[in-house]
Order: sequence, then structure tokens, then C-alpha cells
Amino acid sequence: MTMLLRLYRSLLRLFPARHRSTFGREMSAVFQQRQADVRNRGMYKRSAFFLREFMSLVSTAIRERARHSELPEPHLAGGAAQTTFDSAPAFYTCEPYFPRRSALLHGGILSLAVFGVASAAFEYGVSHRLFRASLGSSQTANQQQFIETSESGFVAFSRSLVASADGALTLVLGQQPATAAIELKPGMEKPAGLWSNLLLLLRVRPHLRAGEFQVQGFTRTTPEEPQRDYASVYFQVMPVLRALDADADHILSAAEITNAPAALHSLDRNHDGKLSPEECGQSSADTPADAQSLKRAGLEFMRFHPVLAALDTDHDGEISASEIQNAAAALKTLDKNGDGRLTQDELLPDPVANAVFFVMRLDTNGDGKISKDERSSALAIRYGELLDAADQNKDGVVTREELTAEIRRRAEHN
Amino acid sequence: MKSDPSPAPLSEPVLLILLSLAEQPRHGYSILKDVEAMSAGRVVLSTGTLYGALGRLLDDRWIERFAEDDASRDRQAYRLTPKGRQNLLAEVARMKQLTRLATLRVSPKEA
Repeated sequence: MTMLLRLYRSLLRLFPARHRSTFGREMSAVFQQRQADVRNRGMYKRSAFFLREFMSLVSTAIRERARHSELPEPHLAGGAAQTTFDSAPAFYTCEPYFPRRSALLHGGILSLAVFGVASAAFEYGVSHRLFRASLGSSQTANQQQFIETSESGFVAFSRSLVASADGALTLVLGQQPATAAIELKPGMEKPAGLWSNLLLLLRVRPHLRAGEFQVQGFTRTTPEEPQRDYASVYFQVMPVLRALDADADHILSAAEITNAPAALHSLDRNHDGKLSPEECGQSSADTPADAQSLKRAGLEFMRFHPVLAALDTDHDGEISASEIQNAAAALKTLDKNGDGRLTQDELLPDPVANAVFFVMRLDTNGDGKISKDERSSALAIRYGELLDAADQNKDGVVTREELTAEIRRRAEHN
Repeated sequence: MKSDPSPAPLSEPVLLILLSLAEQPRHGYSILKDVEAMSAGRVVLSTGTLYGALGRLLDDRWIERFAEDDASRDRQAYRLTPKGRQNLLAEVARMKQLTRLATLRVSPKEA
């Protein structure tokens, strides 16, 4: 009760000083008496009383301030403007009062500004998600973590994570190994005290057309195990392998093979019962727009990756419902050494073939050659030096064979 | 009417406060109780409304403030000024005329 009295007294400060000095003590004395009146009433009556008291205190204070700041003073209980027509008595419970024009203008501007700031903050918050996942500690660095999103946002991770890594941390974006990778080298500056806990924010903006966008976690690049690193990136960017490899050890065990139909069903995003090249991980940004070459790119994609080629038994460019049913049997055909499980050498495409596959995406008409016309895209310019070197007979056309030979030569040279 | 050529209509709380003071001088709390009693509990004034109205009535010199002789030092009482009484009477007369008119027009009377 004393708390409410104190609140009442502090609300009295809203009144103009003149009003407060004249009536202040009296008002709180009367308030106390009224408070005593309702003390033994019910909860509802009491709260109604307090609500009415405080509301009217605030509104009267506003009105008093307006009255004292405005000249000429409005007439008692309504001004000349409020004389009702045919002078009928008007029983106002709230005396009509109209604020100054400048006050209305300022109020309008202020509320527009507040609205603007609030909605801007809301917009920003909606379009910039913070993907924290569990990339925060060095323990989790060598586990695979996946964030799938079609929104832009920030990836947060601690500085000490980067600093404590043995090798570089690689953040893979997009669905193809070649799309983008950001390498975070172990920090040159030593993390100390407070700063080590600071999060580094990496801004992520999906630039892929339509399709899903993925931030595919960090992998610890350990120099001792180059093969494993290639495998882990490959497993991450291939949704089919990611789904099949339930324990993320980069080996498909017998149990995982048996469970393949269920795992593949989880990839069927549009629930049509079959898996399209996109659902198998083909990046839609890399494929040409027209339907024919889209289909061809899909076929090539499905043929190139050993695991997809095995699953798509009729090679029609998608994994049908019946092929999903028979997935376990189809996968067993990959088991060359017959040990009942699939290891990396049985699942991964040859690195040279892999590289050829990605460069050959430039071949938009699908004739097995990269012509001069096909070398005008931004991607082709990036590969310019490689293509020039591959063009052994200098006829301006790079064939698949020429490209394979050049890439193999470079691979062996390294 | 020599005070106000055309006194504006009074709001119901203000009218009730004036009527309450017309009977006898009162202090704040007593006005609240009297208004409540007069309107049979329909009009319950909050302290904010009461003192807002009293402030305006004081400024317009319809009422005046005085210290009650016997009461404790905080007790201030209010009474009508001659001007206030005149304006109240004018308002009541106007309302009387209106109710007479209303009775004539509204009541089911064969004319």
C-alpha cells in the first residue's frame, strides 16, 4: 500500500509545478483516505479503483499542462467552440480539449520516426539470422555441422576456435566443392583474456538462384590426412552421402546400407517419391537456364558421382521410387572388395575426374568440347590459364580429352 | 446575467461538484463522498479529476479556498463565490427550461 502511495506521489510530478504546490499534499491525503475506503473491498473493486486513479492522474496531468501552456486558456469545461448546437447541455465526462498544432506535428514526426526505427530493426532482424549452431568450441571443430538456409545471415564462432586449430579451418559454402570455400588460418595474434571469447562474425549471403543454401560447417584440415579431408568435404557437399552416413565416419557400414531407403526418403523435399538431381545436391546456380541443357546437366551430374550412378540404375537422371526401394542392393554393387561396407576409395570420384567434371560445366551445348563462345562466361575466365594450357593444338577448342590430360599432368606434377 | 453572457454547458462532474459546494463548504474528500451519494454511486470521481476541476474553478474564481478553523493544518476547504453561485443558478435555470421543453415535446400528450 505504501508502495502505491509512493507511486501516486511520484506521478504527481507530472503536474505543472503550480498545480502540484497548491494541491499536492491535499491530493495525496485524499488518495490515502480513498485507499482506506477500498481496503476491505474485493480484489476487483480495489484494482478498478487504482486503475481509475492512476489513469485519471496521468490524463489530468496532461490536460493541466496543456491548459497552463496555452494562451488564451480554454473556457471552463469546454470552450466557445464546444458550444453545442441549439445549446443543449452537454454532459462530458472528459472535458474536450485539443492539443496545439505544433504538438500534433511533433508527435506525428516522433511516432513516424519511432515506427521507422522499429520496423527497420525488425526488417534487419528478420533478414539477418545469426547461425550459431555449435561452431563455438574447438572440440566441435572436427565434427561436421550443417546449417541449411535460404536466408542470409551471420555465422558466429569464437576466436579461440580459430586460434587453437592445428590446421586451417575451412568453411564450405554452397553445394558444390567448387562454389566457395573460406579458409581461416590459425590466428597470427594470440588470443588473450577477454578477446578470446569474442565471436567472429562471418557474413553469409546466399547468391545461389532459388535452391537451398548451405553453410557446411568447419572441417579441420590436418596435413597428415589429406585423403580424409577430401572425403569429409565430399561427404558434406553430397546430400545423399550425408544422409546415408548416419554416424558421419565417412564410411557406409552394412547397417547404413540396409537403412538406405529411409535415409534417401528424407531427401525428398517435394515429396514426389523420387529424387531429382537438385535433391541429390546439384547446384541450380551452376546449371544453364533452358530446359534441355538443364536436363543434360542433371544427367551428367547423376552419372559422374559413383554413388548416384549406382543408385540411378536405369540412368534416367533421377532416382525413382523403385530405385529408392532397391537402394541397398544398388549400393552393394559399389563394394568392390566385398567387405560389406563402402569406404572412401569406393565412394569418391577420382580427383582428376572430379576436376574435369567441374570445368566441363562450361560446355553448355554438351558436345564434349569447350569452344571459344563457351569461354566468355565469368567462370571460364577464371579457368582461362588452365584452358589455354590444355589446348595443345592451339585451335581455340578444348576437348574433354585435352582437359583430362592437362589436369592429370598437373596432378602428377604436384 | 452580468457575469458571463453565455456560460458554456458544464460537464456532469463539474456540475455535481458545484452542487455539492452549494449546500455547504467542503473539503476534497467530503466532495468526493457527496458527489458519489448525490449520483447514487454512478459518478465516482478520482482525485485527479476532482483536483483538475477544482484547479480550473479556482482559476475562474467560481470557488475559493479557505483554511477550516478547527481542522488539522492540511485541511483546506472550498466554497462557492458569489460569481460561482450565480453561474450555477444560471446553468440550473437553463437546464430547467430544457427539461420543461423536453417534457412538453417527448411526453405522450394528445394536443
